[in-house]
Amino acid sequence: MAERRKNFLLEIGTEELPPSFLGPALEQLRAGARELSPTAEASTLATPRRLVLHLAGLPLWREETVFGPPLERARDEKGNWNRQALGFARGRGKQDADLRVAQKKGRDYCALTLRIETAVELAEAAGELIARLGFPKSMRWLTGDPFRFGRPIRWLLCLFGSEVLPVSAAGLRAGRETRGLRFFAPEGLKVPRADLGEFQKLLRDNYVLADSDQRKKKIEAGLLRQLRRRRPAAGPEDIDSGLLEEVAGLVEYPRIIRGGFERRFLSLPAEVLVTVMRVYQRYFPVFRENGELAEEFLLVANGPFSRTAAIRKNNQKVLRARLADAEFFWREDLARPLEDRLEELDGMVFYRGLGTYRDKTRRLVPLSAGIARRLEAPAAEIADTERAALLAKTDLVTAMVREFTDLQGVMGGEYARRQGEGEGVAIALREQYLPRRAEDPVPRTRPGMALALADRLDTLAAFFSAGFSPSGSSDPYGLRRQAGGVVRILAERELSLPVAELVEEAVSGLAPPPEATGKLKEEIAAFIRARLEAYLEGRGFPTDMVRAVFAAGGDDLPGAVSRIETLEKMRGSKELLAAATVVERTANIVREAGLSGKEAWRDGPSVDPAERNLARVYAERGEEIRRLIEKGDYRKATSSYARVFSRPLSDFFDRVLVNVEDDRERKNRMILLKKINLVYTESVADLSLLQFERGEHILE
Amino acid sequence: MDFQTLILTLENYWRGKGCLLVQPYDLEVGAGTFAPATFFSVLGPDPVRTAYVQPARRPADGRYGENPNRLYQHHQYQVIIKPAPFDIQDIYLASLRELGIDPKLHDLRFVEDDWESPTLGASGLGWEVWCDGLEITQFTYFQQMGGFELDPVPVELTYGLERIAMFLQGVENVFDLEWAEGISYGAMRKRQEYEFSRYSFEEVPAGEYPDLFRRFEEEGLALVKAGLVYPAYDFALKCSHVFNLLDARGAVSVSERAHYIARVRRLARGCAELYLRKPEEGGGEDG
Repeated sequence: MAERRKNFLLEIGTEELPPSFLGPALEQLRAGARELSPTAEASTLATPRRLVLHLAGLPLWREETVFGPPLERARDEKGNWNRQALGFARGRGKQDADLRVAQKKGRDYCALTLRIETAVELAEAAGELIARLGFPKSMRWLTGDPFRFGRPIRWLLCLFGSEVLPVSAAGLRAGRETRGLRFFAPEGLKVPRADLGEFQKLLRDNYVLADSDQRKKKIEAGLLRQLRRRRPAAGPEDIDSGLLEEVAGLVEYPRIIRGGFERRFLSLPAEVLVTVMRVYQRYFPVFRENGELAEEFLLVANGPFSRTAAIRKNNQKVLRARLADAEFFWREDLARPLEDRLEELDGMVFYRGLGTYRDKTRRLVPLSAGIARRLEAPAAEIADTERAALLAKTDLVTAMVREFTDLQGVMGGEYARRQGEGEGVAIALREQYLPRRAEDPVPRTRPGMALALADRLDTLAAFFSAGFSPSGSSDPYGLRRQAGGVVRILAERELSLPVAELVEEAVSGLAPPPEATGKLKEEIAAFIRARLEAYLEGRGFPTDMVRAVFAAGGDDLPGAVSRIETLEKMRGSKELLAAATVVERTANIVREAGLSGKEAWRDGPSVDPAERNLARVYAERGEEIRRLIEKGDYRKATSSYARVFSRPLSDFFDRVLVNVEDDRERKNRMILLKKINLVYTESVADLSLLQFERGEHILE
Repeated sequence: MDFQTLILTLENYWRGKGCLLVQPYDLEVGAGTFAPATFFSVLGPDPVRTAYVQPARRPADGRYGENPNRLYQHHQYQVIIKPAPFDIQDIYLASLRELGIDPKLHDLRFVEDDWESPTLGASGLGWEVWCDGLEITQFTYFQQMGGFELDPVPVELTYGLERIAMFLQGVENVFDLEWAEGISYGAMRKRQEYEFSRYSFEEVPAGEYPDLFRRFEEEGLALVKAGLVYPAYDFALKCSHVFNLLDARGAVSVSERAHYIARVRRLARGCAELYLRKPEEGGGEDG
């Protein structure tokens, strides 16, 4: 008896794909699978040499209605199918007996029910899926064929149930053969049917762990076992996750081998050792109980080696040569004071058309010192900031940083410390690039913060002034990351710095001074503001609240954050709703009037008692609310604002018509409303920008 | 396996794979890719199978013969096959077996390394081949040369001979390698390493070489105009070497650097363009 449902298995066999290509490729395979069959259970596997898609439980066929001519044109006068209808049936390989009537958009048609074989559909779709796969970088290898892939495809396996599907791609036809690990498995492994478990077992028996996650887990467990020999408390957080991901994408059958190096290399800074091991060799460092580096490394080899002595010895030899190089750089670099390298910065272009690093240094010194002063740093720290700014970029021309750009800042700090610069300077040099990545901390010291901020603001000013501002999703110079760094430092260190003024200082430091400085400053400030909104939204604050608060000014970032936090806690409360009502009622009617709120409200004979009362409440209680705001007690300020103004405002609107004919009278009323509006919206939030739930917003 | 046996083994292996064995080019080059046997043969539609040893000079890497791993001049074994065979990885791996590298005892790996030479207007995708963590070969599918898209796509294999020899002989200092029985690499090469390092780091007349570069460049461009592709390309190589010397001497600023490279690239591109023209138009091999 034939089975009702079958599985589908596709394996694209390649030469070694780069590890970073695997995840995105599987993502695309899964998306393709959803298009193919939204209901089938899709699984994917990947190794450097294969991308696999498996779909479970597909029906053997499906039925599809095909519409022919409309019914009135498909029948003859006797009500039988006419020639046109019969032609339609034959064209689809069917008889007149197969024709039926079906409705489409309320109209009757002559129609056929076709049986679509899943195998046929799959064969076609699989070929297209392969051709459609995109990679960060792809290549050609077929003569006269523009087909591109991450690396050459060398075999295709495609099964539906136990049947090979006629799939063609990249000049190959699919078969039922797969390959195991190179050197260790026999050639031409036959896969009898599209069973995921069986397929994985066949591969495992031939030294391929096809599931990336499984491979990663196995490597992680193996690494932990080894790490715990030195430090029993070692956990997954001690393993570089990026490196783990990469290494898992470099092997099909991981085998962990432990190696060692000479103790003398431990006198190099730990970051240097870790970087050399990671960047050059993809080794994992080993730490001791006390957190210091051990003279050991762990490597992940590819294969079920029965003997590992040679592999260990040879890897150790390679690492020794690499470390000897690093040691050479370290000694050479140390022999030359950082300050002596300033001249070399003249020859190092910051970016084409944006001057040299020496130019940048000249701007960084006053800019960062200015920020340090604003942070109320004591004189000694301001001096450290200036010194650090002067030396900030000198490590870029050291041999070590030329070799390992990742170590910029880190080396500056290490060299500074050993060359007798103050500890404050050394730390600031190291902190200037923080945060590099999302998981990095922000600088802790004032000189570090000042330098980190100045460096980023200067970069933004320079790039924007040269017209290299990001557009849409493209940001080739990584300026969003720079602005994001500014935001994180300000937010996480709770610095009350006026961003607009800092931008102004950065822009006015540029030489020659850029054109249209005003517009430039606005652009940069808006750019940083956008990052800020994104950052706060990332912390879970709703967009409408962020916008409402920033409409009242966001230069004092910690103040803005605390306003957002307070108001967000009040969300749904009667007080906030009432305050929003006051804001909205005082805003709507005066919106177009072009008032500043500084105009004077005048009493007079035409003033209604309700208006006079409102003005009196404003005069008597307005100041008290302002004081609460100044103190930062936004909760109390909000509820007071609501309590003080709700009733008098309500009375006012009940009794007074604002839009009267008399210009002066109308304007006078608007002035009063504007003043009441500004008490709150000027320095807390423009609550009219908040989205309230339906029915929540009841205007009394 | 001594150094010369290593070379002979590779020569024999690749001769067996149908490669034409040619001799090293007699001008200074930084890599085997720069030799005309690679630069020109990868251009155009004609099939190619060729292999050769190429001494490669990298003035900035000179260490006065004192560093056990860095050399002013090293040797590459270069294989160019166009179009790249379907099973080229296997063919390559079999060559390692010939050298006595048993893949069941060593960790052989293809690690992503996309290659690019802005000087030649060349780029390709491929790997560095690792043997127990040591990079022993650069394996590249060329996509572009002289700024031209390549079709058919050639494969380039560049074996680092000193590294492989050190691996095979278990030696940690390149100068301790055995070139032939009883003759060390140091005895053969150490004095050259010292003298060329001194020359490139201390003696290169940094003030005059920019002018030398300019004269070579002019000569090259004039030869392109004259339709003499091989002599023109020689001058591109001379320019490239003068630039390398200036760079080693520390006489090239970062901005000048890009400028020099662009000038060599322009010349190389001119040569490639000329070469690709049909013979009756005054270009092409043996035209």
